[in-house]
Amino acid sequence: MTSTLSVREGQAPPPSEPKTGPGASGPGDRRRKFGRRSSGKKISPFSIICLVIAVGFIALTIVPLGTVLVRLFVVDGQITLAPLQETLEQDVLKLVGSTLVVVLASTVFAVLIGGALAWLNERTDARMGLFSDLLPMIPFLLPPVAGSVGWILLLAPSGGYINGAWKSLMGFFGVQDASPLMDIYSWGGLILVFTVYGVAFTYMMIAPALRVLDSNLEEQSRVTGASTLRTLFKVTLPAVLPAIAAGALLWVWVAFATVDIPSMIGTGADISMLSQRIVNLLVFSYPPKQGVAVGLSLIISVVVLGAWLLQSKILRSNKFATVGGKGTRSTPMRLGKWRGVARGAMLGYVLITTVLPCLALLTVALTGSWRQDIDWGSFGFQHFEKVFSDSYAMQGLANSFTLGLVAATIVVVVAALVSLFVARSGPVLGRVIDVGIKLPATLGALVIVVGMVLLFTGPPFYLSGTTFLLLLAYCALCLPNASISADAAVAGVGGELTESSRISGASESKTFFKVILPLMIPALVGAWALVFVRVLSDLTASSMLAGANNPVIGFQMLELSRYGSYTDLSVLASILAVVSTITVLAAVWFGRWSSRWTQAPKPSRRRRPTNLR
Amino acid sequence: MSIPQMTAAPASKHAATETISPMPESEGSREVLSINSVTKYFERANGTTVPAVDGVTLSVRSGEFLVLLGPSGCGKTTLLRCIAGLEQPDAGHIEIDGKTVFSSAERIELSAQQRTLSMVFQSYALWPNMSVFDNIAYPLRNRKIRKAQITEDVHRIAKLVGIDEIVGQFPNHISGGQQQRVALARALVSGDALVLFDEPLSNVDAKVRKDLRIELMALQNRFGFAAVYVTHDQEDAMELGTKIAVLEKGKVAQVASPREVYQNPVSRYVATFIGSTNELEGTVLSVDETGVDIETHIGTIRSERHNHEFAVGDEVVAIFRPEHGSLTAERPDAVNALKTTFRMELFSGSHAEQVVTHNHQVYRVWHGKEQEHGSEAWISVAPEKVHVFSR
Repeated sequence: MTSTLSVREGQAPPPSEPKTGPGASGPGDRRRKFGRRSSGKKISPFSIICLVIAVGFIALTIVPLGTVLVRLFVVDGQITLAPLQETLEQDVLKLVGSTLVVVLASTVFAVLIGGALAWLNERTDARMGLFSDLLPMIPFLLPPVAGSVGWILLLAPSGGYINGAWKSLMGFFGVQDASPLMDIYSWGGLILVFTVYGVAFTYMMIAPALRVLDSNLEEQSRVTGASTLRTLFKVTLPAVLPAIAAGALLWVWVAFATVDIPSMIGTGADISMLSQRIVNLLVFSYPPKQGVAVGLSLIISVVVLGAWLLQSKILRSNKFATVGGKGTRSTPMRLGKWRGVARGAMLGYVLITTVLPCLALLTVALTGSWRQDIDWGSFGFQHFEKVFSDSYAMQGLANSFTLGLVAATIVVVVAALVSLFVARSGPVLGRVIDVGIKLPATLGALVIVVGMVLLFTGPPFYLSGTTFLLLLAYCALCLPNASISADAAVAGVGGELTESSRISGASESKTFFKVILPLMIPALVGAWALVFVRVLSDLTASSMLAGANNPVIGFQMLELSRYGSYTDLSVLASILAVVSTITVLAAVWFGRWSSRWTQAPKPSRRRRPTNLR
Repeated sequence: MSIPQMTAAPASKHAATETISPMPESEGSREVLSINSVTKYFERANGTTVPAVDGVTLSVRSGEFLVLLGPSGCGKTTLLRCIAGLEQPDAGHIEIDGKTVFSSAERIELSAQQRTLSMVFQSYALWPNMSVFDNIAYPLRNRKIRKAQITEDVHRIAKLVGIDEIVGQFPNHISGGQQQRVALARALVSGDALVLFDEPLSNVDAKVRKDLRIELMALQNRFGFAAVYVTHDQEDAMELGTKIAVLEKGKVAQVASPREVYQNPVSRYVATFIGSTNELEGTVLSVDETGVDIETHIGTIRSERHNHEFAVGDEVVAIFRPEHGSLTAERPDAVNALKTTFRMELFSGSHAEQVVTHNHQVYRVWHGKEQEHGSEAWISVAPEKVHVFSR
């Protein structure tokens, strides 16, 4: 899954063109000049290398996208509308309809839950600091592909742990053969899992807006006699409405193209969604139906692009005017007797949505069987050993870890170089590169992979079934996320900090190694960890580009879910969840440790005066 | 100004000999910075070019403190960045310490790291990943100086600016005032002959600001460097500067000592930008050998300053400062007596300001007594204190 997309405005200093006839320039000779240019830097080898790398990576996303577009109208060198016709002959309306139902319903719930959690956590005294750090990270701690398995184990109609517990509870009250509490293989189940992951995205957008909201606005409302609820609906909510809309649209475009959850759950529920159908057409049909897959990709692109355009428009409309500018401090609203209830609800939410699926996964993985009556004596690592001794499974694990390490390293280095280059290059070139690196891969991940299938698996490349092809795909898909982190890092280092170093007589390389690099490292390590985890748990590229010759964890999990071997699936999902959690937490810890000098030892803003308790 | 102390000042070897030997009296001091017709254009978003710095010519000698003063957008920071080498001027000639660092005619352009000068940034620009010690030592380390010498120099300058106890801390763990001192120490440690300041006092509160101004002046007296200081704060400018350059739309409106700029402003812009003023627009009624009479809407005002030539009928503005005006309830027996209505007294501790109006125009004078609100009040001002500028 992707995180939010931001494209930097062209504020960077342009590279200076060689000076031409400076002696001739008098006051009358007003040559056109760019503003804020750094002093006479020539085109350096560094710039050329960066430019080549950037262009290469942009091509890696643009060319497959173009291939898809061409394939839509050209088959075997003939211009034709056959792919479109084939697509329309399918149950397109039903596919789009079911995708829309799941995505929109989950968006509504995600906004309600994410908004409520954000409000409780940022604006009231029920706040728990941990929450803000943890909640947006959940897709990385428990990747959707693993989380879906956990939810199946909990909510399968007959074998699910929660349904089993529900049945015994009803039996205790004398109701025999009670219907299950919830069936994961249903509209409800699908929407539930989508909602759980959607909350991470809506929360991520809404919480910061609420955090910086000037509490004077709310206090003013309360002083005039408005109740807590009235204040919430008349003042707080309208002020953060853009953030709410942006969060909802972010989730719409992410969810519309997501492969993970529909592939793991949708198949069993017999509900077809667009992304899952594309995978089926390309991977599990013989011969692969490329024309239809391409047609369906187009539908996804249109919806995603629409959602993104709308979101950019909302975010750019600058209606955050109510957010206080100067050193406003947010005083939490006191909930009184409801504070305990609110905290309980927040903890309960985390317990149900993350802890329970994890427990279910670990239980099945460790006992080696998925049964209602858990055999507490059979806990052990026997089943892990079985998987580790299986050469095919081991190959998948080894491939995934190697690809994760290599792709994360490549992507982070490239992202850092490109961000530095963009910050130093002209507003036009910089912006083109910036948009080119981020936009296609963020919006068209699924379509890019489809394009790679068309482009690289056949002649002249014949890369089908190679790990190299997977590496290309992972690098292309993960670059935007790393790029955003690198941008933030470069922005934090830029300006007076580097100028000051140059004034002190330091050379360019000394400035880079002594000032720029040390300050960028924490952000880059964080980005590395997220890319590593994302590659490990990826299903978008893995489902379509991996195979028996180049298996990776995601692909194997997809296979296992089709065979219904849930114990093996749980083992892989557990490994995924544990490795992801450890990697991300280690990166967070390292980030804090390595930037310890930037954290002023001031009292935490969470601490309240004792008289308020 | 104590020369013996200065030899003890931390300074890199090359700078030490240069800065310290020929310091003393300002007449004999050498020219450290000379700027000649420096011009820099900016391009607006709509494509038009505007001169941010427009043919500025200035010079600063060692021991001098030049303040570039002007409202935001007047080009003062751009000029400073051109001197530092962080911006590239479009035309002109800049010389630092006798060495040409920029010349459009000779096509010379030295980068920031090649120019021997120091700079204190508005944000202080302390590197958060380095301790205070490392921050201060950084410029010395770029000049290949012995380790022991660096340690000695850093401690000496740290002691001098009063941050000796915190050299082991990281910049974000110390107070704003301390950060300011670290930035100052870093700028002074290499003993460069020229130090640039980009509004360094704008981030600290009024009290700390006053203390730092005094310290800054003491340090300059001690080291004898030439300073160029950018600010929009006239109090900073008046107190710190030995010379003030008032900038107006990229051009130098006036360069002179603070006293001169205050007492003899060359234009309405300079007069109103520095200190507070009362402005009376009117037309010249008569001209004689000693001065001019100007017809204004609150009466005729006479000016006896010979800085401008005017003819009868010229559209002019008469300006005088509040401290030169007196207020009386009765019509005074003075050359300039202007009838107004009393409004209020504003007491500010050191003086009381009497606020009067006429036709919604507000005038302020510092001498006089509080009267009844709405009563008749007469302003008198000596003719030699009234400036006249064309409108």
